[in-house]
Amino acid sequence: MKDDKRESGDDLHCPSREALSAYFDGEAPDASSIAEHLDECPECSERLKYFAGLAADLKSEFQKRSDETFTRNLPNVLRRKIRKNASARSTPFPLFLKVAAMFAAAAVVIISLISENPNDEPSVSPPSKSIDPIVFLGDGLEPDKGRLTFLPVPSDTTLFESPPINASDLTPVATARHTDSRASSFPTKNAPAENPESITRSVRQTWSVANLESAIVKFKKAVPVKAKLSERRDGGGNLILNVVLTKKELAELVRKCADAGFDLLSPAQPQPEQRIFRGDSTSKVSYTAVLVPK
Amino acid sequence: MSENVKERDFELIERFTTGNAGAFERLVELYAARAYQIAYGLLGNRQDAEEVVQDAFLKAHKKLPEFRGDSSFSTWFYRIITNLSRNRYHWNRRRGAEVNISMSASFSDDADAKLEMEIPDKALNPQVLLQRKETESALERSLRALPENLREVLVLRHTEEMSYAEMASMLGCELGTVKSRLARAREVLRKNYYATDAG
Repeated sequence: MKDDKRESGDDLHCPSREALSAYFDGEAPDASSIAEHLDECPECSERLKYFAGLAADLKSEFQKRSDETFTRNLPNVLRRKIRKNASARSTPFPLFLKVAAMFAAAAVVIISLISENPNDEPSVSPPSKSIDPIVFLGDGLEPDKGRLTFLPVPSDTTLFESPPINASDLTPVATARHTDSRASSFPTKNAPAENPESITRSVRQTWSVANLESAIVKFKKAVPVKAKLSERRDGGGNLILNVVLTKKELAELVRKCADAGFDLLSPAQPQPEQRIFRGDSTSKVSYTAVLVPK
Repeated sequence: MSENVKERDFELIERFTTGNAGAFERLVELYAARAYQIAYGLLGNRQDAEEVVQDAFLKAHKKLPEFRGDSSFSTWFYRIITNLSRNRYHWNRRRGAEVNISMSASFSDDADAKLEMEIPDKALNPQVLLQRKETESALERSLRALPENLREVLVLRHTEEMSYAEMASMLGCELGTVKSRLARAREVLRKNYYATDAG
């Protein structure tokens, strides 16, 4: 069988079909020797002309197939389909599931009423003494679900062993409609009294880091496991990380980054030292961190 | 692909993931025509191409928040187009709707060459087939007759002018495989199309 690699011409020095095809595409590593060969070999030159003719024919064939009406209407079609898919996803549960859910809810209420002892004090897990807790004040109308902030605290419950808190150190939380005894218990001796701050839906912060590679590792460790992190580098070699988190997770992440030695250069909330925030701790935030080497 | 295009796409993706729906529409405007050309090139018919492009954009809309930026958006998106086109192509084959008619692959001794068999088209009636033969060009017919793996590289190269490395990354094969498939595709077309219909 004739050697496929030498089939393009009778001369044994003809480049292979693959090499000639790659040369036409500008992908041949030995381009200069092929160019020299083409000056001397009419058969290979002819084949190269065929490649050029084929490329032109294919280009016009593909352009002929373009469908401007389809591409022009596509955004509208997609918009409709996306809306339809979204409404399909939010379709209410079937009736039997609703009934089952109502029974389950009723059972939980009954069980909790039976087991409740009116003399018991509500159990409160004191926050760690070494880390200042992060407090969210809900939207000012409804207590934030799962927060300790709005739980009643018995007057003799000691959350912090020392030092005693002076009333003058505390700033009243003006936005909360409810009496917020727990929030006023959170400040510690080192933390200044502070006003609650808001976290926007999209936060971008720039961090200055000593070593980019180790900073990436630390950042990834600080991000909750389930969160999906995307990363890319910009033209200046900085690393841009994006992740969607709850506000509470973000406040914790920012604090961990500061603890890891990153310097925050942006004034956007959350700041590492800020402890009290307005809003729902479970609402989602798109967070972009730009890590800039020092 | 230029760095400017990549940066522009990343910027649009970032805006989309932070709640700007208009940014996704801009991506659609930018990539719809080329996506359609690729899908049409791979599938050889308008209706399938339109459906694949729509599905690809819907998939991209859903998956963009998870896009990690390991490759450019275009490579990522064209991979979706190629995969959906492959699925559609094989589905069509299973139901006998679209069949490649090609004995020419047997000329090559390459391991990944496929020997296609001529199978009667079950789903399209003779009138439709006759109409198609009248309207489609000889080159279109020759392209449709190419084995799938050869047609893929030819379409990607000549619609998007993708580099061999980009195609290898997109198709999940070696760069050398791309090189040999492309050379073979050109040879098959030279024998089938230029020897008979052209000129």
